[in-house]
Amino acid sequence: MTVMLILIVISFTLAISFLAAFLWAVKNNQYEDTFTPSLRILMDNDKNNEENNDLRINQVN
Amino acid sequence: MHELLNDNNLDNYYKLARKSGIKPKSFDKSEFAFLDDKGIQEKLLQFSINGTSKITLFIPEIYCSACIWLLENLYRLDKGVLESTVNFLKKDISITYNEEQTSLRKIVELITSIGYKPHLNISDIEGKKTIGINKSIFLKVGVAGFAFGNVMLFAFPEYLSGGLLEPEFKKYFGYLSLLLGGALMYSASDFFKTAWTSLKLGYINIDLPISLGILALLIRSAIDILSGRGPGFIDSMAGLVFLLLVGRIFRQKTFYSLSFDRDYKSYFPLSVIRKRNDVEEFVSLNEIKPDDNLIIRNNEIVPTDSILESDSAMIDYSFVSGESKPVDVAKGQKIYAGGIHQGSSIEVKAVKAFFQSYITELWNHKAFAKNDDSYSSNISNTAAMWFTIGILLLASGSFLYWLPKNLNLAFNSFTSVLIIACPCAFALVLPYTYGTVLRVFSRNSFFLKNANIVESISKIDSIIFDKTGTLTDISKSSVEYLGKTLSEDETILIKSIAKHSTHPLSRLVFLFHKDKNNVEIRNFTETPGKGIEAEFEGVSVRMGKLGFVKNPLTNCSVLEDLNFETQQTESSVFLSINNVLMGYYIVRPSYRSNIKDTISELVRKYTITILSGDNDAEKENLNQITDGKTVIKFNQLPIDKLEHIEKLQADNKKVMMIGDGLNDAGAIRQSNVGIAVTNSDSSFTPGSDAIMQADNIEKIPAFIHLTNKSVQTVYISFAISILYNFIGLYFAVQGNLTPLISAIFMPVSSFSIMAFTVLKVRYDAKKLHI
Repeated sequence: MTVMLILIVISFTLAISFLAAFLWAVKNNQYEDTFTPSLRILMDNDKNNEENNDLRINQVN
Repeated sequence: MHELLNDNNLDNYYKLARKSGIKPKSFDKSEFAFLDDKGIQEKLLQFSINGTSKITLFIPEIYCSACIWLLENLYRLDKGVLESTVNFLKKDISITYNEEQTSLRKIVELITSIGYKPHLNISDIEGKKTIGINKSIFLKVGVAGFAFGNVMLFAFPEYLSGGLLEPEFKKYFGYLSLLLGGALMYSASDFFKTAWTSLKLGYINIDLPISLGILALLIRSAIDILSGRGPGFIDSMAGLVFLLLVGRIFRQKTFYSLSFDRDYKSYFPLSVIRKRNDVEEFVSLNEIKPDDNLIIRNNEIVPTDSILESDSAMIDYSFVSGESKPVDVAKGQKIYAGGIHQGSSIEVKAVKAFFQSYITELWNHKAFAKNDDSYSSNISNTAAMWFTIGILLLASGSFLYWLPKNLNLAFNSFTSVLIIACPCAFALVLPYTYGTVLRVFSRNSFFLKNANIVESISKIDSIIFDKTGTLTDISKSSVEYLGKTLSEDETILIKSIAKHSTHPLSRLVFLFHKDKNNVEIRNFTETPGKGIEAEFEGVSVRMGKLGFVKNPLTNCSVLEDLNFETQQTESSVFLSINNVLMGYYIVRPSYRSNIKDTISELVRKYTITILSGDNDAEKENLNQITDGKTVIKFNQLPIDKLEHIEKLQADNKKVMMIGDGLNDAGAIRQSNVGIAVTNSDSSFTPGSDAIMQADNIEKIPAFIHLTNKSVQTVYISFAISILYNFIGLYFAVQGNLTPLISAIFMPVSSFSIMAFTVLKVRYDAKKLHI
């Protein structure tokens, strides 16, 4: 039965890591705007990826 | 359609990227010059550290996903922009930029030139308002949910094994639960805080019995677990805290693009053109001093009380005073702040500084100091007080009863009463009932500032309507032509002439004939404030005021035929063709459809008053609409409306004010429930308790009825939850409340109450067809 203790420890650690992930998400302002990201993902950036990259590099320089 | 828009916008973007210069919106080069001012910048910027600055701009034009795409690619158009993030619901954009490579002015000019003009108004520079989500409630729910789930995991083996669980495990599970119980204290901290504050202020609210219950749960569990007597009640406690917090989230629904706290400052722009030594410059409104000469262009707001320097002007005060018709102002006459100028640019001389003008005086009224605390729910506070006193008596009663026999049992029954009586179901009633009403209303474009306003609405007994813009529809005026019949050619001519004028009445005449053809008019003169005259192929036409249209030679016989009364001249456009007075167009405000039914339904239960800033020209029409059963007052200044409400309130009336303009702002604020009516989502609404889409006015009776029903629902649910409590107390006073009973009893009672309130409100709403 002591194997249950190990399981408990594992499940508890898992749960804590989920909680930590949630807390991080909230602190990272991910709940500030729950709508815009859903539109953002639909936007097509592939067409001019090259141009994109060029500009980004320029900006960094 | 969406795709098309998208493609179009992309096209725009490509051109822009190559700097080929598409400018969908033109603006004056110096319009944003004030943004170079360090003082203004400092107030607008969120932060500015080591040359990197961040600003959030409100852009009402954000309406499609292409907008987001374009605005988030700003860095390609301006190398100085480091990052731009759009929040679609709030319709704003946060821009981080490098001050060395670009400037605030350049950025604002850039986004204006691509068609997204930010709303910059005077309220932006008056202290930053942060309408963010309350993060801590999410954190607390997260922790509570985590504790709830895990405690259940530890508690189940105990319940399901029928007491056969190994003592070793019991011990570990107990300690872990206790640990989670400690974490739950963080989640529950808000309840303790509010309970303590209200106690200090000398009254009891619903959070007090909740706090007592939670404390009793924790202490009893700690003692049980540490002494090895039992598994404790941490599972019940976790469920309780979790459900209560979820209820808190449910009751608040944020409408991002709406603002309930606007005042006159959001109505004025940040800058105005000042003319000094023949040089025109944009200056911030705060810099206006008496005797400054200001240039006001078409559709701009006169920022402060001033004297007209140009020959004449048309000023629309509809938003400030409620007068629906633009007022003619002659040279040397006074123009009050807040009036919107219509027509070609005028020059005015400021009489007062911005913050001393007539319109700002209204806001100094004490009604605007009203505290938001007045929104707390009376029903729940009264109930909570009796409830708390009751359970404290009962708890100490059972303690004293058992004390002589068994100290242990006495302690058990004392804590058990506090635990079982912890008004979880009770506390969930209000959030879920009012929260559901809030959602039903918002589906009908009626947005409440917060859930407690549901209760305030149910209590009202008087309703006051503003006329212009509320009962009438400003966007629709009915035009009627009275006089000699016009030939087809004449109508075409009239339409073509009216087209050239910017005067609102000409616009209406133009729209009245909009189906007709057009002819090119070359010979055209407009005398501002008087009328227009034009000639076309030998026919001369004059339209406008009676005095302008008629001259000694004019044949005016038509007026006698029409039994013309002089008081009708205000909103009429007279017409003469070749020196013969043909007749006139009369413009009448158009009342919203069904307004008669709405008022006759309301008048049965409520005292209705109509306050109008207009003159009494509409008296007849209004009397007809209201069947003469309401009080109608005309020529009401903003302060008159406010005082009227104060007078009603002095008679212990609960007043609901429904209005639309700045002129109603004082009354809306003073009333028990102030509702601002708006024609579009983005348009300005004065500070209010609720915002309503104008075409939903006819649903007001249903809305009020639903709030009454919901209060009824609250009472029924209270009764049910008290019944639950009696069942629980039956176990508790005997001192044999076991963790298992508690763990079953608490969720069952809470969930059944939640389900009952939500379903009942939805059922009522369905019956009322809203």
